[in-house]
Amino acid sequence: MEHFTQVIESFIEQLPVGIVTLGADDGVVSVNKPALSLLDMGIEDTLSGSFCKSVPVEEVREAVDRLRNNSSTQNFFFERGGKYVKGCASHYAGPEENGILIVLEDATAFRQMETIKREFLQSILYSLRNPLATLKTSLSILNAGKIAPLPASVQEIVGLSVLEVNRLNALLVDLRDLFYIETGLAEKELEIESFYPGKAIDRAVADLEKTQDLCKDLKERLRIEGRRDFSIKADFEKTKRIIMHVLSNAAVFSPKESPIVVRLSGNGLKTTMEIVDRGIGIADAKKPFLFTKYFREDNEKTRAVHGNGLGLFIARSLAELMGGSIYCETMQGKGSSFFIGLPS
Amino acid sequence: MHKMKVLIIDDEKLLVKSTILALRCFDFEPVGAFDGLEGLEKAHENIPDIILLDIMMPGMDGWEVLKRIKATAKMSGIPVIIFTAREYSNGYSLAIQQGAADYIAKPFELDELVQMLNKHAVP
Repeated sequence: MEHFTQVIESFIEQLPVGIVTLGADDGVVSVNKPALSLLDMGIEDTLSGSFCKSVPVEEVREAVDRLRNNSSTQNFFFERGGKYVKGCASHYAGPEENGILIVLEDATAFRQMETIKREFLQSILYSLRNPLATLKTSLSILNAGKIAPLPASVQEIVGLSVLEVNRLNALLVDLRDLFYIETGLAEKELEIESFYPGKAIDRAVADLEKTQDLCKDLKERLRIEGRRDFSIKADFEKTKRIIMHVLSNAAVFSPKESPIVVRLSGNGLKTTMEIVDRGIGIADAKKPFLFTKYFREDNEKTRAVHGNGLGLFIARSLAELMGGSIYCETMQGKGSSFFIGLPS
Repeated sequence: MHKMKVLIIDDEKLLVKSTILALRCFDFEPVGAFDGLEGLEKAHENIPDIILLDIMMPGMDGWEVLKRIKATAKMSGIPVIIFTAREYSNGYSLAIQQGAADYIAKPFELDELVQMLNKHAVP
């Protein structure tokens, strides 16, 4: 047994991550060298009394405090000695009751990569938006017949070009949303206000009609039912984007003239928009992946429709960011109901 | 009939040209300037009814141009719409905070831009 313990201790010492275990009295049970280095502590600092009193990193103290107050696993990060450290504190059942395990990882290189990725994406987005704006403006004048009425064939070409420019733009918007969600920036830019869902639905429909060929007659297909006087307390633009992703799927993956119903309901705490279509539905085996990134059902119908598989992932992420939720009830061949719930 | 004078300050020359063509179709009288200093000079010489102002420009950036417009008595009343491809979280709030009248991200919908100009311009 003693030999086994030595093997484990030596193993922990050589791990590329920092490990600290605490007993119920907050004393250090074990700590490896990487942990001491990342926390900027000497072994003598851990020998007496409370870990929280001796550890020089506030973020670690706070995470342990939260965990002691019956919270679940705590993730945190801090910067010390030029290093960016990611940490995780959790309960563990060790030799002592109420033990705490802290795992620390030097994420400096990871953060540098994230910064490079962010700067690269921002630069790509910036560089693409300007020429896209020129194309969009020029085509819009032609398309509106503002300079001169166009021959039918030219009008058709211009119309197709407008749709393609809009598709490119929608892709940039999705990439931007994805990037903001994954870097935590989306949360920082939330502007919470109170509005009625009808207003967000109207704006979503208007934007989709303008930008997606298969949504041109969306307004005629849409039926809004239920009470419109339950308000939503969320970010208006982001709510509109959630509705756009769900409505666009409903329009694209259902028969051309079939109705799409939005049922509004609420209970004072939460307002729900249920978006119902009579489309192709989703196979049972694929349901768990519906809201994951890059998910696309592979069948004849979906292959015929352009998409990047980001829409529902973005919709769910944005809904959760605002304290809401989104889920789906669907039956293959019959249609789907998406329930978007947001705080009232 | 008085045509609304719109000064577009942006170093993206092709976008300025296409926006000028587009706004003429909507009965505006647009003028372009390709950097901050030229924009300030043109605004000073021939006071426009409204300014469309890009942010990321070489030399003087849009925020500095906006600051100088707002600090010059002759120009301080001109509504300025920030018109940018640069990524800002809370771009609208930031623009308003700096003294702009509105904010539109590129690429924009032409009718949205026209509505915005009509809403803010004081002929």
